[in-house]
Amino acid sequence: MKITKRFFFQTFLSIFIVGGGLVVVNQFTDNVIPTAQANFYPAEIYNTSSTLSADQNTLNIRTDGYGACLNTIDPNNFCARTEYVDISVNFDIQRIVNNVYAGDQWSGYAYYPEQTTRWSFPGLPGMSPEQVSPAGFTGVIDTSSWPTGLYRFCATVEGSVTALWPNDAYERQSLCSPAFTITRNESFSFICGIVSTTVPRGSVVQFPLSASVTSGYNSEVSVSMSATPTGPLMSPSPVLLNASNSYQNIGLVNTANLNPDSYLLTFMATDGSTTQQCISNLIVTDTTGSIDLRFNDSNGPTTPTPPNGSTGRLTWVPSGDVASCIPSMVQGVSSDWTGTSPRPSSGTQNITGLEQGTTYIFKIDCVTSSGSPIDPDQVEVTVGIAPEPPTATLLCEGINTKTPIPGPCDVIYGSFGVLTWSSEYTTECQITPGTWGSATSGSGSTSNLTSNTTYTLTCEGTNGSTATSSVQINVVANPDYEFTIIPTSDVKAQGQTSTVNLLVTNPTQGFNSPVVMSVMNVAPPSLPLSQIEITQNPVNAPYNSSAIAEIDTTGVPVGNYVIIFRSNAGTTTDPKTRVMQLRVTGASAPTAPVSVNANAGACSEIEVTWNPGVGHNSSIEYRVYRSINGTDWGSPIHTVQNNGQASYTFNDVGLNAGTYYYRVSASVGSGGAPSYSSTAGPVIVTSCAPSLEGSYKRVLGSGASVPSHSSCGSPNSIPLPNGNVYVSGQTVFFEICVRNSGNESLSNVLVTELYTGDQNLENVQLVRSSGSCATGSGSGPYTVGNLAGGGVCSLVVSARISNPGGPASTLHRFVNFANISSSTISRAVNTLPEVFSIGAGIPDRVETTP
Amino acid sequence: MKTQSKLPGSISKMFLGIFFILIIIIALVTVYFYLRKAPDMNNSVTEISSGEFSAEVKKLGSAEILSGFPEDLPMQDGSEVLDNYEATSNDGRIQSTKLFKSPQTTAQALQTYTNFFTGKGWVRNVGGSLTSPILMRRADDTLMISVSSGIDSSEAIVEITLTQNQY
Repeated sequence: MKITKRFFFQTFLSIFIVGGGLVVVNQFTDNVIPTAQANFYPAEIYNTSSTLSADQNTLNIRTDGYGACLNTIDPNNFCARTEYVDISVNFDIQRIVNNVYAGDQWSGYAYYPEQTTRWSFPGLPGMSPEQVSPAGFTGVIDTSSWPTGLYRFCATVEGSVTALWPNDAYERQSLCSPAFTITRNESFSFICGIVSTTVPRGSVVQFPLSASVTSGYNSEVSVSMSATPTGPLMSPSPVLLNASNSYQNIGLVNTANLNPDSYLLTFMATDGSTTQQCISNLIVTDTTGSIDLRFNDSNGPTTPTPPNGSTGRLTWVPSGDVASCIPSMVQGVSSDWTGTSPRPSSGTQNITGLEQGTTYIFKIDCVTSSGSPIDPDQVEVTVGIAPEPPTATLLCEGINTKTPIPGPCDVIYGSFGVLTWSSEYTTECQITPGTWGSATSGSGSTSNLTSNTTYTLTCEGTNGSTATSSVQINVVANPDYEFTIIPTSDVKAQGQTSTVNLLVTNPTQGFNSPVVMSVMNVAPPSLPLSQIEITQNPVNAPYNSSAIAEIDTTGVPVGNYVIIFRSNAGTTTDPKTRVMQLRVTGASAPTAPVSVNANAGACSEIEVTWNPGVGHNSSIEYRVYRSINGTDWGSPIHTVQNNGQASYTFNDVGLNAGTYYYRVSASVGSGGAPSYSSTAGPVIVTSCAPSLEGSYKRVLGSGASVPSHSSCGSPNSIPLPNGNVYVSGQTVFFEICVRNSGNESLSNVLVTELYTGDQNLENVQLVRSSGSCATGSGSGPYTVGNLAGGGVCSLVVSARISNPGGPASTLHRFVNFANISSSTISRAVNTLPEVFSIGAGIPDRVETTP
Repeated sequence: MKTQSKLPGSISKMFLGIFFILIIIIALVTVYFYLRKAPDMNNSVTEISSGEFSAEVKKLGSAEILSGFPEDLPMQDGSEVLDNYEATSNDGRIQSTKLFKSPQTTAQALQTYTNFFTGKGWVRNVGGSLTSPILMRRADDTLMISVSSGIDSSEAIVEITLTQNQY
């Protein structure tokens, strides 16, 4: 605020506010302005108006009112004519949408700065203030471009007066005219989507073209194009904008035939009544093209991997103006990609013969249609080194090897083998059958095998291929068996054939290999090997037949020969040797055996005895023949070689009850002609089934100790002397003899229900038994247990004579018996009766029936 | 007896230290301003003027957001921006164009960006199947999505031009 001397020293101000105005009381000290009271209207508008022209293209506006007036200073009410006021007026024409201010359509500004006496109207041509009362402003606004809408004119005045210092007056007021409407015909506005674009020559440029239309507008807008400088053409032309494409479309300009330049494209849009235009800048460059060279669709550097790495395909694709190309090698040699002949602007070329570990750089140089070179392109290719193929090695260990071998390996039936595997250039390995994991090397045991098994190792290689290795593990039985030859010795007369059975017996479980029989040696060699023939050879599982060795003694000198037979000769399958002795005798028949007798044995048994005949020696074989009628003899039942004894015995056992005859032959060896003895017999034999017998007898004598007696003496029952006189309390002894008269054993033999009748014996006790063959106490039962065939058991029991009462002449009788039993046989054993008396009387001996 | 003053040597060392510190500070400041300037090094402005028409073409860095472009414009991994510029004319238009190579197929790219801008309130001028170029409008602004095949059929060249009309 500016302060003048005039007001600083001479003016006294009093300000009163009355109604909407401001009452100012001014006391000037120098009396230059003698008014003591003044009205100040710093900002007041009391009217605004606006009027549209008939064509609605111009709007007349007017504002009535004071800007800033101090009637004391400016008694003529010429406002803003003093340097002590500061006034500004804002004018605007507002858009009204839905009764709400929607922005200014137009605005203006006028001001009257302090210390001037002149209004200024920056940017408001045509505005002028009225310098008469009432103060106001008028103006004319161009509305020709305004769209349809509701508008109103408003003015705002602000003012202050410094003349009243130190109490400035300030006021602000706004007024608006009534709203008015501008109505326009429906129209469109045209927009080019491209401001500027730069393309290489040859491109087809897309220009998005669009129009914004007013509501209700449905005319079709046709767009054409012109260019400066000439050259670019829009094709197709015109481009139509209409409701079906929402007034958006594309204008296409082909730059193929254009010179590199900057073009202004003017797109003109018209709907027949209105024409609008917009401009796009098109820059066509002389970037004629580019070439893209690829190896196996890669710009590189690339590393093709064998096995396909030795080949590949080069592809070159142009962009823009590319006419022809020439290939070359920057590094490496490839006859497929060299030469000076131009190639098309695009194409492919198969490349072969690339070497592993080598880097190739393929290059292509191209030129435009005008021959100008363009930037070459190249691609680098380094051929990888093929990974080594995988290897797999599977080895086994068995009983036939001490170190891993490629197989086959043998394991004993029911036992395991060991696998060892290794590999190279692999990622993982599998072994089948079984569970072995995926290690690429290792070792382990198989399961216990009972059949031949092939194991296969399969390894995945780092190069994607696989390698396999297999081993066979054969299951072999424990090669253990018995080699038996029958007979081990033989005597044959010259010209006879000795037959030997070569047997395989007791093979171990699982052993099923053929056993080959052979003759290892013959000594002395006068028995040629050629005269030993083995048939039914080899002996195969289950070995229930034998190989047959036939020794032909034709022409063989008399003598003893040792023949060594061998099984599985030359193998590791339990080879064995057996020795046979063969005696070759002369061909004449010997004398017959003499003193041939046959006697029955205990049961089912006949004992045959004979003596050698004259001239018999160890070459003589005796054969015992049996007949049930003395006529029909059949095969010999027993053969025995002369061993120098004076007599020979043969017990023929197990015979059924019946009558039998015997004779004995003598022959040289088994094949010699026999000489038969005379017939012995008939001999009757009984059955030898188990037979439990028993006897019960009193042992003679009495007293404290057992009298001497023959245990189980014969006969089993003996008559006892009747008439003995015993004294009461005297001890007598009885023997119970238990006998198994058969050949078979009896078990669980018991002596039970011992009974000493007639009430004259008491305190029965087992005193002893032969060989402690029985146990028991008191009156039994007594346990004998097992009783072998022919066995006997003597039990001695004691009993004390009781006093039965009565006269001494009374006769008493031992009536004793017991039961003997076994698991299969039971029978009663009774004593023979003995009559005795108690006391001194000696009764007559009377035999009574028990 | 000869005495030797240490003062001159100490002063020399002190000045030497200050000198090195200054060198380091200058280097740091230089690096700072270099880095600060670096993002703008790709930017260039070209003035075009012919008669009543004038325009200014401003190249932006590949990662910069063009006027009117949404910040979340999808860019697939492997995309490569080929051009990114704004052109402003004296008649009030601002043209924003982004040209890039997408690993998507042409059909996928066309679908991706049409759906994206549709989600942003843009409306296609026509319905039906998607065929390049796609024209869209939002208020007074226009959009063109043009997709063509790259050298590899598996990649697409996408050009998005958004034009804002300020008047």
